[in-house]
Amino acid sequence: MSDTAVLNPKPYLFAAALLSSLTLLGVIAWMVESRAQILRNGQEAVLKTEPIDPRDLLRGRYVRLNYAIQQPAREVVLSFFKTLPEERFYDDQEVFVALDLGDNGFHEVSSISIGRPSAPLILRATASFTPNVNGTIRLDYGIGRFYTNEKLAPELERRMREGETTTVIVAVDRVGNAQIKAFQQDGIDIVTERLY
Amino acid sequence: MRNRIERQINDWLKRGVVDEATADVLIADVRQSASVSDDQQTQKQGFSFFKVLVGFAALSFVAGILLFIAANWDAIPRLAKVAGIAALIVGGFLSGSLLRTTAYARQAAGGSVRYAAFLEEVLYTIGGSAYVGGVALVGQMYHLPGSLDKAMFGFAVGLTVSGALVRSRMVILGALVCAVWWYLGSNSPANLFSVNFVLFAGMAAAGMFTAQLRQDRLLRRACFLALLLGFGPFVFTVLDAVFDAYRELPLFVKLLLWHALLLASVAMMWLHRYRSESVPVFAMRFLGVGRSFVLGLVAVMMLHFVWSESLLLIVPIGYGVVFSVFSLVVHGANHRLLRYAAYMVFVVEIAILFGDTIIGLLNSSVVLIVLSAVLAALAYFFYRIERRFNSETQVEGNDV
Repeated sequence: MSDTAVLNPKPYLFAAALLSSLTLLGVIAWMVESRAQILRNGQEAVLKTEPIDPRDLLRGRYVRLNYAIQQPAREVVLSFFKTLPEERFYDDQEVFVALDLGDNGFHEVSSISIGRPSAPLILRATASFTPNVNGTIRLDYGIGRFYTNEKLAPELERRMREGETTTVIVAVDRVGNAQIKAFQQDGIDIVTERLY
Repeated sequence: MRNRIERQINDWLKRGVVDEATADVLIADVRQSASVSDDQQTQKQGFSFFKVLVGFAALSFVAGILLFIAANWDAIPRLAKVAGIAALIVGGFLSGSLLRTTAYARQAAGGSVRYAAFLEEVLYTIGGSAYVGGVALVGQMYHLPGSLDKAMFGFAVGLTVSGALVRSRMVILGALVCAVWWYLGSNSPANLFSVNFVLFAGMAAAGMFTAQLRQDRLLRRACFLALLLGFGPFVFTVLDAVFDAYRELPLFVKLLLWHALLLASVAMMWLHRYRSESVPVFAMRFLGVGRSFVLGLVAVMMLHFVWSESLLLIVPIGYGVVFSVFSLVVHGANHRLLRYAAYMVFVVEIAILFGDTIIGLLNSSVVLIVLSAVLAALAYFFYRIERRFNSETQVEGNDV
């Protein structure tokens, strides 16, 4: 049976395998470096998280975070809706959110726009909405998961349930991409992310 | 097999059964015939205990590593994790290519290359899986929340490029699965003019190109299947639009349409039976007896729907009965499947007629008696037809 084995030639195979490996490693290295760069050079924003349904808190090995800035104030949303050219359903629309430091020490949404504003601190987000319907919007900044180990995750969950103020410090690059930098509860650093 | 035949030919040569020139021609022919694709080769090799053992060994190895990593996840430095992934990627692809190259050289020297293609694929699969694991690991390291659908795009692109480069069946198959997953989960999969579709089609084309290089029939079919799945949302959208347009048509247009189809079906079946020489070649090929019959059935069924709201149900029932009898008369003797389908149509039409008309007028005991009479009549009818068809077939057989 094995006598029938016949291999066809595959020219330049070793070079191709090397190129394959480099391509795949390149993708992974690019992912790592692009996030590390945000951590290294990004502006910091301090964001408050809110307790959410405990059943949603943990899914596997990450804590699901619900930020206050995900649901901006009604007047901010309404003024954003007024800038939109037409009334239609916007599906997964990319928007830019300008942040200001509030009196309570947390960053808050000052404006939302489709185009990139010239504000000093902006975050990129996606949202699906219909202008002038309820005047609400829910923004997703791509920082909704905080991966941690199985021992720490239930502890974080318990503290959030008990009402401890949970703060996430994010690093933001110039085009609005955010990267979680530190996770604090009641002012104490629980986790600080390393570059690599 | 090739070596065995070559040994046999050499034996014939030694014993003088064939001369040297004939032996050379035979050996050259055997070698040319043996230059089959990897795919054909894999099919020929079939089941192997060695392969099963290697498969289990690979599974145990991967499971062991995964369990070890899971148990010591926090203790392993991040860079060590990434380095491990990188080692698996590079190790998988380079060792796969080295194995193939050395096996090919061994084959050229007349040596055995058993399982080389299989092991090569195993190594590429390890490399490709490590890439998928690496992307997931980086996502975890930096808390990236991207959905699985979006991650699939990254997996598909990486695996397509690497799989096409090393011409690996398994890696390309993995890429196709990821590509289909991503494309069907993307925003507008029905839009064939989107960038997403171009990317998807590009990945499928790269897979097809690889299949062509490998002469790999299974991979080619997988690429076709992936494209078919990718076209699915577009086809459904078109069908939806067609149904919407059909619903808006005036009643007389619908009636015209289905009557025309029924007439065409009957005409084709009649021509096939009595004037087959006058049927154009393309019609003979694409609209044979079976397909004509099915089209007629569709027309009768649609006429039922068109008339379902009115009191004229007797008309499509009449069409159904006449159509089934006509089919039985012209083609029943020669097409057993058509015959049974025509019986079925006949019975269903009678049942509809029975249910809609007579049953409401009778009480339950009378219904059962009438039903038994109808069934007996039908049984007698079919018995006579079957006898007639059987005798016709026998006569034709005797004539031949």
